Amino acid sequence: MNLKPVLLVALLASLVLLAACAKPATWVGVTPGEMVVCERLAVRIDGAWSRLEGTQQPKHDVWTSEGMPLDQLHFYAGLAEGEAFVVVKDRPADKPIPRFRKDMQAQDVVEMYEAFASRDGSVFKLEKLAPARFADESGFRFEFSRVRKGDEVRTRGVAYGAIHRGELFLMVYEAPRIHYFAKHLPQVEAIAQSARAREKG
Amino acid sequence: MDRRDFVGTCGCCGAMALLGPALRAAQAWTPPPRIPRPSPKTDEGGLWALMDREEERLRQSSFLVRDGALSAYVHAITCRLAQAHCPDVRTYVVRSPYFNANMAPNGMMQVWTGLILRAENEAQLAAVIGHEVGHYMARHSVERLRDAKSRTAFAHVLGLVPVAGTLAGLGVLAGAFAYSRNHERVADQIGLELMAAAGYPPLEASKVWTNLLAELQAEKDWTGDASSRSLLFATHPTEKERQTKLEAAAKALGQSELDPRVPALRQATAPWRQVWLEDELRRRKFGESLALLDRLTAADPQDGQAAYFLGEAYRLRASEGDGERALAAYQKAAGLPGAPPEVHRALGVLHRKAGRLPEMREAFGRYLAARPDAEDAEMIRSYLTEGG
Ligand SMILES: [Zn+2]
Repeated sequence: MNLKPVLLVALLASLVLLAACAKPATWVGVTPGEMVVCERLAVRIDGAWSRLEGTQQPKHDVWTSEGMPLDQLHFYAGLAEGEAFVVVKDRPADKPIPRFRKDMQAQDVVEMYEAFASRDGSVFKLEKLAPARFADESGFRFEFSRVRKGDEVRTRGVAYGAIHRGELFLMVYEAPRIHYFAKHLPQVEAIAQSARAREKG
Repeated sequence: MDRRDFVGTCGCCGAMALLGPALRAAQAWTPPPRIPRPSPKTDEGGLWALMDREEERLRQSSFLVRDGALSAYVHAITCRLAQAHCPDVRTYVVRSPYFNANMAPNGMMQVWTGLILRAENEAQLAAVIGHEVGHYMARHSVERLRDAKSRTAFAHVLGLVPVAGTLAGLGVLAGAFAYSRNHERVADQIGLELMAAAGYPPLEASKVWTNLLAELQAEKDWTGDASSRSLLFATHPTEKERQTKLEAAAKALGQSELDPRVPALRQATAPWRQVWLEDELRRRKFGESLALLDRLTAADPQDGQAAYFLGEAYRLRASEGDGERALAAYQKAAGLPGAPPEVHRALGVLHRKAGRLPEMREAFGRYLAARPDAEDAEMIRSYLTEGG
């Protein structure tokens, strides 16, 4: 892998993020210990993580350990019926974007995530899907691999999900297959084990 | 080149028809001699060097389909059309679900899997490849390069490509080649001539456009979005008029009795069709996908694979009544040859949602029997123990 394109992509990505918000989003270190993500998912963390602040997406949080786009940990906390992994509006261009339905099964959620992760033509492959406890529910855990379209980096991912009182809670970790994925996986698993849903308000 | 050069050749068609396609085409229109590599000092040489670099990236790309048999099959079609130019051409099959093919001035021919999936027969695939060979033989990209307006575009592209990465970069590159209408007319006509000379019925070329226009219309009808256009259409201005002219020109060429070669294409693409159909649905252009799958299921009502994916397209679109349409398509597919085991999983999921547990267990049981090591087997097994 050539480092230069990766840096350029990172630069472009940060430019896009900057352009998208009125107030520029910034990476802020996360203090180890207990914390509540998006006011809806309580987790316990150790290790050095940074979270992106000021994205103006109240139900989505993104963390990184090494820095984007090397590894990324996404939380979607409390997606309600009709909501998606991106902000959707009632316009023709948004019609094909898959939205959450509370009668979704594990496969449907995986598929919804797959559509999101391959929207730019990246190749997504589900490697494993199995039942797992998450956010106080009988949820599921899935593993996937992906070839990113932009830079053709091969990544691996693991995700935990559950539908809790009609809302979707999903946590997705993804990093390059070589070196980075395995490096942070134990911490990610520990975070998933610690996750508890918090009621609204 | 003027359009009349081609159409005007048909004055002696009656006698020509007896002489066989190759000879007839040779007298009607002669392909230019092979194109030598230009000096690196010229602008054309610079363009070739850029394309050589892109070709090297394409060779390394994980989106390149590395299947010797399939590549050889598509390359043989290119060669049949390119005739004496064959030694100058390399054919690459690129995994991308969009309808696209393009040929660079250095002889790099790319054929995208979304195009192969859509071809109803070998002749239709040859039609698009032949059109691209037409641009190559007429050296249209060099003309574009010397056109002041596209110079700016090229400069822009040269700055962009190293960032955008292989496949994305090639898409941008293709955009810089947006040909003029006259170039399109010429490439269409050369394509038809090459098809006839290679033994393909030229009329199939107009069917490619008929099918594509129908897909785009279906997409528009569903989303109400007029901006949904394929990549090829972005570089190839299309209108109903062009399709009509192509049809008229093809009819003038005759040769309608030639074999479009349906089984050859079907056989060459069989190992890949499921993956390509999965890729197709990931585009989430359900209007286009449903038009395509309606066409596939109509062409072969016994095709269980097409019937399953028709069900998938309805399920994923999830508009009013699509649930029932999906169920009907899955049930039909389950009784047909060629349906993948996933059809039983799809039925199981629908039964589970509707609370039909005995039917759910039967369907999931059939799925697991066929795919005991499926990536989601553990999840499915957990459903079998539900409800006592
Ligand atoms: Zn063209």
